[in-house]
Amino acid sequence: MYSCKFGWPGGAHIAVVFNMSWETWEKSLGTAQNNQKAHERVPPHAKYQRGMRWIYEHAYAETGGMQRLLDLWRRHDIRTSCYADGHTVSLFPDLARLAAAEGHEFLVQGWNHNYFWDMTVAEQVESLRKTMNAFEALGIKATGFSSPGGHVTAETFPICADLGFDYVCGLRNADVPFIIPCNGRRLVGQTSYALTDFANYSPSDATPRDIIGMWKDAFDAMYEEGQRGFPKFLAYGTHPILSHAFRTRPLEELIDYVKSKTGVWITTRGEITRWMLDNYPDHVLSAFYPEAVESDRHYGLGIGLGGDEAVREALRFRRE
Amino acid sequence: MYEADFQWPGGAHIAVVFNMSWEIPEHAVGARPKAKYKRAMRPIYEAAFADTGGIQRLVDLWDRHQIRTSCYVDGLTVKLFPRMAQAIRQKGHEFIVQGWTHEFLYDLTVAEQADAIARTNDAILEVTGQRAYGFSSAGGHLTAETFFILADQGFTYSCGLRNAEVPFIIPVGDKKIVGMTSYAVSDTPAARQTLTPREVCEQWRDYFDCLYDEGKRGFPKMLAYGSHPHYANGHRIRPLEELIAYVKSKEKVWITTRGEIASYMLEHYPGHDLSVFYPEAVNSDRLYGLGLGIGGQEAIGKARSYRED
Repeated sequence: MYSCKFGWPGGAHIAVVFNMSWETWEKSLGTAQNNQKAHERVPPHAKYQRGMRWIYEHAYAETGGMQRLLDLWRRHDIRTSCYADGHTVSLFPDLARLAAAEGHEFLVQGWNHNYFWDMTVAEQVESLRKTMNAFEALGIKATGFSSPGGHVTAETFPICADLGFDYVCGLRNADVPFIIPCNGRRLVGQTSYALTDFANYSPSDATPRDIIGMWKDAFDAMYEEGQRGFPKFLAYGTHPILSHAFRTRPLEELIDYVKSKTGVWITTRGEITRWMLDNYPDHVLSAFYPEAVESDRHYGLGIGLGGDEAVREALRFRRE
Repeated sequence: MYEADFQWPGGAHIAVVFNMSWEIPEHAVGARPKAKYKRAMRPIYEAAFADTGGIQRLVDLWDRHQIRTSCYVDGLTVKLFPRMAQAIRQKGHEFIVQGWTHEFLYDLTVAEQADAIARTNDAILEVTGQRAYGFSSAGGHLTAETFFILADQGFTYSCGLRNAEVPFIIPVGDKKIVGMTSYAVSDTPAARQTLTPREVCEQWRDYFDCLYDEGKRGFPKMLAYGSHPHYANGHRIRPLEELIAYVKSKEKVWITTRGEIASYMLEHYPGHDLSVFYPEAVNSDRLYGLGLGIGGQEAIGKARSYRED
């Protein structure tokens, strides 16, 4: 299934990461200018210019949702990888400190979930710096980054390398972690997840049990792939804004299931990064999949394999 | 249920095809012309998964279940990933020309269409040593000219249709092309999160059961399942494997490829245009301009009336 030799600690068949995304969306939330969810907009001539329902739903994160998640991870003895916005930790420092104290690792996402295609290079750098400062002010050290919504730009990886990050998440093009050579550094690139609780954002979507069922199918298939000598990693994404009890209950059953199997490494993205840098420092994506070279060249993915052609392809989309 | 005298090899009750669509997305994917960075990368990474994870997982699946698929493929895909393309052919999967990338045919002039199809077939020939004889249109959209272009370029079957559950002959001048529906059920709705993979497979299974029964009653048909490497995340595999096991547990099922169906039709039923199965097909062709070769000048005129260039 892939071309290289690769293994997890202790020969585990699969690595599993539980993710949290703790975010404060821009002030355009619920207004006619909302660019995050197309249907969550008031008409341009509304007399009160935002829909409060969506505001309340987001506010749930800090008055219920995050607290439920922290309680759940505590009871199941799980440390998560937490993508966090700088604005969030600034507004809620005690909750942030509590999460960090309980062992959850924080990754820099950006100041406020603005998508990177909506930012100039300078705005990107500013967003990441502000967020890093906000973490530092709370004594939280982060060496990982994940892009909001999985969007990066041509410049994001070099910016992260220059800021001293070791790993960049938010990707979606592989089930294995891989080295991205960038500006003389090695970054570890990681897919976020194909399955998250966001698939049940509204009641007409797949149910939480459906999503958990899908994740279990993914886990079973990939566990077997690992048993056959092609171990990979799989993450599940949670969001405090969505952590109502009907979503967390099936998740707890899933955790029990994962823990019932032998040869599973439940870990964090930071630990995966250290494992890669220590043991597979040259495993760029083409070591796993030779196809990755042309993939980078054609799409301009920024993964350091497609040479000048890939860089040019990525840069030609820069407008401002 | 239909008028024609028709049977599968060995009197099978149903023919089943497993499809793959190995594609490069059309240029517009992720485009945000007014943004500061003019594209959203998430759909790009998701598309790229096809070639660094997805196709490898599907090929592994078909290997383990000893299934040869009909693989719709884009020309650029074959050019970019020749090693994988060769491996896929060596394992017995057939390539069917789709187009250079996943552009829809309604977005192309006649010349562009003919060129895309020819270039793709050239790429397949160059990389794998064999041309393709089948075509399938991206998204199931054809134009008035497509069958003529195919006949000109020596193709013998065209898929991407959706108007019948039986294969049928399309007379094109003095040539014959076998027309085939692609599929009503594929992994796409699950990828768009309107259904789960299990729900998709359950739907396909219900479809299979129904057609199998119709075949037993003397009206055999064909049924395909559509998979896409860019959607081949881990959670879609298990339900599909259970589906394969189910299909294999039934007797008198012909698991085959579209190329084999085409050869079978041309050899055994060279006169079976769609009106042989369904006399209604004549007026259907006339009304809609479907290009089935049975609606005469009226059908051709209707189809051509939409051509702007």
